[in-house]
Amino acid sequence: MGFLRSRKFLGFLLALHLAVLGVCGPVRAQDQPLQLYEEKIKAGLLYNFLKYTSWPTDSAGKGGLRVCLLGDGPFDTYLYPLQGRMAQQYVIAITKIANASEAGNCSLVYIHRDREDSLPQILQSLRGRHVLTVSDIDQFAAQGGMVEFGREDQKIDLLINKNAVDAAGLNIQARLLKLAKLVPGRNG
Amino acid sequence: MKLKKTNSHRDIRASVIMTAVFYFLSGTAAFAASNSIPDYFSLSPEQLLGANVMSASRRVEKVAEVPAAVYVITQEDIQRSGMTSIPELLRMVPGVDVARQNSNTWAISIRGFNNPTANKILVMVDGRTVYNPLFAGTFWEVQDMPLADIERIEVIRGPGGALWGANAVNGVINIITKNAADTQGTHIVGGGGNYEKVFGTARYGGKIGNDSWYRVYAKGNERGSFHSSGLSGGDDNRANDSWQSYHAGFRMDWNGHGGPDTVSIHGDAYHVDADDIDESFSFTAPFTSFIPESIQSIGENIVGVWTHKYESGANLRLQSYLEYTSRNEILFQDHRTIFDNEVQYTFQPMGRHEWIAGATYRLTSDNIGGSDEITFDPDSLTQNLFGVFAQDKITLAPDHWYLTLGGKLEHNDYTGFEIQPDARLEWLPDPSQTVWASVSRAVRTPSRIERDLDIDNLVVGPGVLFPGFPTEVELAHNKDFDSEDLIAYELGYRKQISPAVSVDGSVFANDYRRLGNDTLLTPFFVPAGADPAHFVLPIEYTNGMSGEIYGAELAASWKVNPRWKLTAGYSHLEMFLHSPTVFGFSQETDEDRSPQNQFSLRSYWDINDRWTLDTMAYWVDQLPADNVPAYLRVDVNLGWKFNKHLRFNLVGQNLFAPPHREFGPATSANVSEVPTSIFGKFTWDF
Repeated sequence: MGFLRSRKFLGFLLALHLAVLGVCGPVRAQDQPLQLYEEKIKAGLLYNFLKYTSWPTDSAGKGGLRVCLLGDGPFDTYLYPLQGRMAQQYVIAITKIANASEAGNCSLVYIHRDREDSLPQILQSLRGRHVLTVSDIDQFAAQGGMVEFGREDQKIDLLINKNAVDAAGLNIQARLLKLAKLVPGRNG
Repeated sequence: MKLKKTNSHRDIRASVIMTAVFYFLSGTAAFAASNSIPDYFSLSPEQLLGANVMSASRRVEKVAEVPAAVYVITQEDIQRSGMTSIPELLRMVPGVDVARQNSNTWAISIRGFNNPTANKILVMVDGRTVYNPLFAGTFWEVQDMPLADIERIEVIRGPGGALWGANAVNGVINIITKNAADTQGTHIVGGGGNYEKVFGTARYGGKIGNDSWYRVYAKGNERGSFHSSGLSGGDDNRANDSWQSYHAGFRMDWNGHGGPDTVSIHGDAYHVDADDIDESFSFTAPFTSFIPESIQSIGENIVGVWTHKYESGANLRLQSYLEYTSRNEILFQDHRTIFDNEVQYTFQPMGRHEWIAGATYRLTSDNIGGSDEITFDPDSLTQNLFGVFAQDKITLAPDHWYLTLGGKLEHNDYTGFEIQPDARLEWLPDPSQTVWASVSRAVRTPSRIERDLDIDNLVVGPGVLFPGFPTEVELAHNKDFDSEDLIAYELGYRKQISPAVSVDGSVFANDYRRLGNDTLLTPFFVPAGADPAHFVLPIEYTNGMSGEIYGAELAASWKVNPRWKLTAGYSHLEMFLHSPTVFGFSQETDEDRSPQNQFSLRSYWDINDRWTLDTMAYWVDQLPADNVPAYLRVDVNLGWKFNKHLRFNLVGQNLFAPPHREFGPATSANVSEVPTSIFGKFTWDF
C-alpha cells in the first residue's frame, strides 16, 4: 500500500477536481427555481388572498381590511410589513388577538400552529361570520378551516375548503382557486 | 513541582487580536457573499407556489445519503439501552470497541488501536472538542450530561480530518444535545442499585418571551467499585475504583422570531472524584509500591453559537468556546485552558456545486505538574492552531452520482502545516440504495506527552531486563516526534430492503505510516552513589512503526411489527503492525488489544402501551495480548409507564456471566473485573 505518497495524492485530487469542473461547468441561473423562506411564501400568498377575495360589502371597508393573528409564530415577523399597504382600495391593518371572541371585526384570521389543540372551538366561534380563516395547521381545511398552507416536498401548496368559504359568504376569485387543491370538508 | 510563569500575558493578548481579525475577515467574506432580497409581496401566486422552500437545515442530509460509514444513536436507543453513561452507549455501534478497564476507566476506539489512552478518534459535544491535547485521547469518565437531553450521537468510522482537522484519524464521535425549545418542563430521574449506588438528574426548561428557551440541569452519580482482578484487591475482593461525578449546566436558544438569525449559548461544569491506584518505584525490593489515591477532575466550559441564513440559500455559522479543565493525580496534574473559534460558511448552490468553507483558530494554554516519575519540558505551554477547510459536493448526475472533494489545511506549533484531503464518490442507483467509496488522508499531530514528557524513575527489578541489578527505564522527550499519517480507502453500501428492513455495510483498508513506537538507546550502568547500583535503559518515542488495518462492519435493522424492532451489528478487524523488536518485546502487541470480531443484537419490544422489554446482547472477541477472554454481555431493561408523567425501569446489565476483565492484564493494579449491575430507576416528566 506504500505506492501513494501524499504529495502525489494531492496532485491527483487537484487534477480530478479541475477535470470535474471542466466537464460539468456551472449550470445557468435560470435552471434554479426561486428559493424563499417558508414564512415569506406564506406571507406573499396571504397578501394575494387579501387582493383576490371579496367580502360582503357590509363587513369590509369601514375599518379597512383587518388581518388578525391568533397565537404566536415566526410568521408574524414576515407579515407585519403589510401594515398600511393597500388591497382592493382598502388599507390593511394587522393586529394580534388573544382569542377567537375578539375576532368580531376581522376580515381574515390567521391561526398559528400553537392553537392547534383549540382549533375546533376557534372555528366554532367564527362560524357564521364573514371571516376568511387561514392556517398552516395540518388538516386545517378538512377540519372546517378555509385556506390551508400545506407543504408538498420542497414547495408550499394551497388547500381550500370551498364549502366553508361559501358558507361564510366570501368569494375567492378563480385565479386563486385554480391553483389550489379543493378539499371536501365540513363548512366550519 | 516548580511552576514557571511564561510570557503568557503576551500570548493571550496576541490571541485576542488573532480572534478579532479572524471574525472580521469571516464576517466581511460572509457579507460580500450574501444576496439582495426579493420583495415577496410583489410575487404572483404562481411564483410563490413554484418557489422552493428554504430552511436552515437544508444541509442536514439524511444519513442514508451521507457518503461515509455513519451510525446514529437516537434518543430512543439511549432510553431503551438502559445505559447510564456516554461511553457505555457506544457499545451499540458496530466497529466501535468499548472496553471497560475498571469502574471509572474506559478504552474506546474505532477500527483498532484500543487503549485507555487511545488517541486516534475525535470526540465532540455540540461542536466542542472534548479529547485532551495532553495525550490526544478522551477521559471518558468526565463526559456526562442528562442522557434525556441528547438528541443523537453520530459516530463516523473512518477519517474526518477534511472537515474536522487533526485527530479525526480513525473516526469521529459527535454528541448533539437538544435545542432548549425541545426540553421544556421539569424532568427528574432518580434511582440506585448494587453498583450504580445512587444517581439523580434534575432538569428544568422554560421560555423567555416569545422566542427564547432555556434549560438548566444538575446530575450526580455515585458508582461502586468493581471486582479486583488480582493485585489490588483487599479482603473483600473489591477494586479501588469507585467514583462520584457531579455535572451542572445550562443552555439558552434564541430562534430570532423565525428570522434569519439564531443564537445558542450553553455551558457546563463538572467535578469528578475517581479512586485509583498510583504505582511508584524505588531501587529497593519490591521496587513497585501501590498507593491508593482519588483522582480529582474539574471542568468548566461556555459555548456561543450564532447562525445566519441568507436569502440566497447561504448559511453562516460562528462558534466560540472557552474551556478550563484540570486533573489532579499523584503522577501528574494537568491544568488547561482552551479558547476555540470556528466559522463555517455554506454557499448557496452554484450550478452543480455546493461549497462549504471555513476557518478555525484554537489557543491552548496549559500547565502540567509532574512527580518523581515524570516531568514535562516545558511544564507550561501556549499553543496556536490555525486551520482552513473547504468542501465541494458536485452533482455529477442529479439524484444518482455525487462527488465530494474536501480538505483541511492546518498549522500547529509542533509540526507546522498539515493537509488532510478527502474524496468521496456516491452512487444512488435508486432512492433505496447508496453505494459510496472514498480515499482520504488524515494525520494525528503530536500530543504533549509525545513531545515533552520525560519519564525519570520507572524501575524494574533485577532479571526483568538486565541480570543482577535493577533497571531504571528513562524516556527522554523527543522534540522531533512527527505526526502519524493515515491513508484510508473505504467502500460502503446501504439499502432499504423494505419499509421494515435496512442494511448498512462498509469495508476499509487503512495504511498507516510514522506510527509512534519506542526506540532503544544504548543502556549504561550506574555504580552505587546517591542511588544503589543500577542499569539505565534510555528509550525514545519515535515514528518507527507502520501498519495496515483491514476490516468490515455490518448493521441491520428489522421492524418485525409495530411493537417489535431488532437491530444487529457485526464488525471484523485485521491489524498488521510493523515495528522493530525492543529487547525481545514485540511492539506489535496492539494488534492483539482490539477484538477481531464483535457481535451485537438488540431487541426493543413494546409489550403493550404500558410495558416495554428491551434486551441487548454484545459478544466481544478475546484480546490475546493481555489474555482477556472473549465475553458475552447481556443487558435487560424492563420499563413500566405508570402514566403520562411517570416511568419506572428495572435494568440488569452483564447478566448470566461471572465478573470478567474487558481490557488490560490481570496483574495490573488498575484493571478490574466488570460485575453484574442491577438498578431501578424512575423518570418523572411534568
